[in-house]
Amino acid sequence: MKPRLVLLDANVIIEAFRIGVWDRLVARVEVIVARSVFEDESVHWFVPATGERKYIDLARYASEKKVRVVDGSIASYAGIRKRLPRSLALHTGELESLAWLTESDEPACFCTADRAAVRAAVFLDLSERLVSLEVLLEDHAVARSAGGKLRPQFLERLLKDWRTQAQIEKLQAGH
Amino acid sequence: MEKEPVEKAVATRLRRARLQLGMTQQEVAHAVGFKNPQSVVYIESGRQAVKVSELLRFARLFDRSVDSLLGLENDEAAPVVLWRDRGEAAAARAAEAQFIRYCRDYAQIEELAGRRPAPVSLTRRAKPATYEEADRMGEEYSQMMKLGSRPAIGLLSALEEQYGVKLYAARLEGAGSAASAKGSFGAAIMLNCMNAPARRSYDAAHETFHLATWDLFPAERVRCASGERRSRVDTMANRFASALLLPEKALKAELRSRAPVSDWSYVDYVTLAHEFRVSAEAMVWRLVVLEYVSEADARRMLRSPGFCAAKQTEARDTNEDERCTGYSRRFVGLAFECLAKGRISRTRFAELMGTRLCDVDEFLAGWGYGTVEADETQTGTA
Repeated sequence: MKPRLVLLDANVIIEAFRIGVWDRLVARVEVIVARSVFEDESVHWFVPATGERKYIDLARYASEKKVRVVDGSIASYAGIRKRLPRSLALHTGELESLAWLTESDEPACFCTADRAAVRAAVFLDLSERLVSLEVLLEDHAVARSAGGKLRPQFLERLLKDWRTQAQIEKLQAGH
Repeated sequence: MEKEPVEKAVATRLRRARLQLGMTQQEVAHAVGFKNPQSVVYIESGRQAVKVSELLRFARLFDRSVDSLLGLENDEAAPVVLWRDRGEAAAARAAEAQFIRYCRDYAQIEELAGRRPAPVSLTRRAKPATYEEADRMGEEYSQMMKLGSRPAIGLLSALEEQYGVKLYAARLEGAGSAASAKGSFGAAIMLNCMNAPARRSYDAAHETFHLATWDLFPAERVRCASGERRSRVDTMANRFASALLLPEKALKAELRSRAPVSDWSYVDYVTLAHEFRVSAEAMVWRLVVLEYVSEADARRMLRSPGFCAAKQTEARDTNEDERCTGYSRRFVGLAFECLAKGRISRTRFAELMGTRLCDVDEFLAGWGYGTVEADETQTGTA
C-alpha cells in the first residue's frame, strides 16, 4: 500500500508540476486532496523556461485514481475553526484538509508550503505529520529533473523555522 | 455527539438564508450545482449532511461567510448602503454585495494585522440646516482633515489613513455614481473607478458629508435614484464637497494671481479646475457660490459647446493609480504584511484579491511587493 499524503492546498501541486515531478510523485504516494481544494480553483502552473501558463487537470488525475478526493465533516471543520487563534486566516480548502486529517482514522502525513498553514498545524497538534516537499521527494526517491530547483518555501529548512516559531507562539499563548 | 447539533443548526441557517433571498429550493439547487434538485430539500430538513465544499458554494451564493453559516460569527444585519444616483437595481445590488464583502474582508485584514484604525471620528453632532451651513461645514472639514490648499490631492489618503474610512473603487457602470456605508467594519466609500480622478475626489468628498451626518438625516431623505430630482440633503452634500475641495481662502488666493473672472474664456475655468484637481463643473458652481459668476451665466456656460470642448482636455491624471482592481493600496499593503508574517495563507490571500494562486507573485509585483519569503531573509531566520 502506498503511503498517504494530504496536500493542504494547490501550492505543492503547482511546484511539483513546475519542477516536473508530479507524475512520479502520484505514482509513489497516494495523494489526497480535500474537495474544497479540488473543486474551488482552476489550478495552473508556469513552464519555467517559457513562462507559458498550463492548466492542471486535477479531475483527470482523480478519475484515473491518482488523486483521491475526500470530504471533511462540517462538525470537524467547525471544531478546528474554534481551536485556531483569530490571528490566523486560512482558505476553506485548507481548513477542510485539516478537518479531514483530524477526524480520519487513516494514517496520513501532509504537505504545505504556507507559513499560515504551518502555524495552524502546530496549534492543532498536527505538526508531527507535516512534511516539506523537499523531504517528501527524498523519502520516496522521486528524482528531480535537471534544473528542478525547489523554491525556498518548499525546503525543509524554512518549514522547520516556521514550525519552531509557531511552537514558541503557541507556548506563549498558553495553549 | 456534537455532529448532529452542528448539522441541524447549519441546515436551519441555510434555510433562513435562502428565504431571506426569496429563492426556491430548486433555484438554490441549480445555482449551487446539485444534480439532484431534491438535495436542498434533504439538506434543509437535516436528512442529508452538507459537505464543507457544498457549504462554501452555499456561502458564496448567499453572500455570507462559511463561518457565519456554521454559527461561528455573528450574522450581522445587512449594512445600509447610501447610493449617489443609484442606477439599475440588479447592477446596484451586485455592486453593493461586492462592496460589503470587501469592507468585511478589509476589517478582517486590519484585525489580522493588528492595525484597526484609531477611532478618529468624522461624525458631526449637529446637522447643517442651510446650504450656507453645508458650505461652512465643508471648509471646516477641509481644515480639520489638514488637507491644505489643494485638498483633492490628499483627501483619499486622509480618509483612509487618518479616519479609517475603507475605500473601494469598482467599475460601477450602470449601478450608480458612488455610495457610502456603515457597518461593523466601520465607515466605507465606494467610488467608480471608471471616472476621472477629479470626479472620484468630488464623489469622495460628497460621500464624506453623508458619513459625517449619517445619524442626523434618515436614509430616505438622503438619496434619490438616477434621473430623479436631487434631494435637499444631497444638494447639501454637493455644497459641502465643493467647499471642502475648493476652500474659499485658497481659491481666492489663486484667483488674485489671475485675470479677473469676467475676462475669462472657457479654458481659464478648465485650467483652474485642473490646478485644484476638480472637474470644471465643480469649479464653475463653486465660483457661483462665491459670487464670481452668476447662476444664469453658469448654466449657459455648462450648456455651451465651447465649454464642453474645452472640458475634453480633462485628461485622466497619469500620476494616479490607474488600476481598477477595487482594492485600496492600504488594503493590499496590510494583506501583504499578513501574508509575509504567516497570518493569512497564500490561498486565502489569492481568494481575497480575486486572483489565481499561481498569479499571486505577479499580483504582488504589480503592487510593488516582492516575494513573501523576503520577510524571512530580513529577520535572519531563513
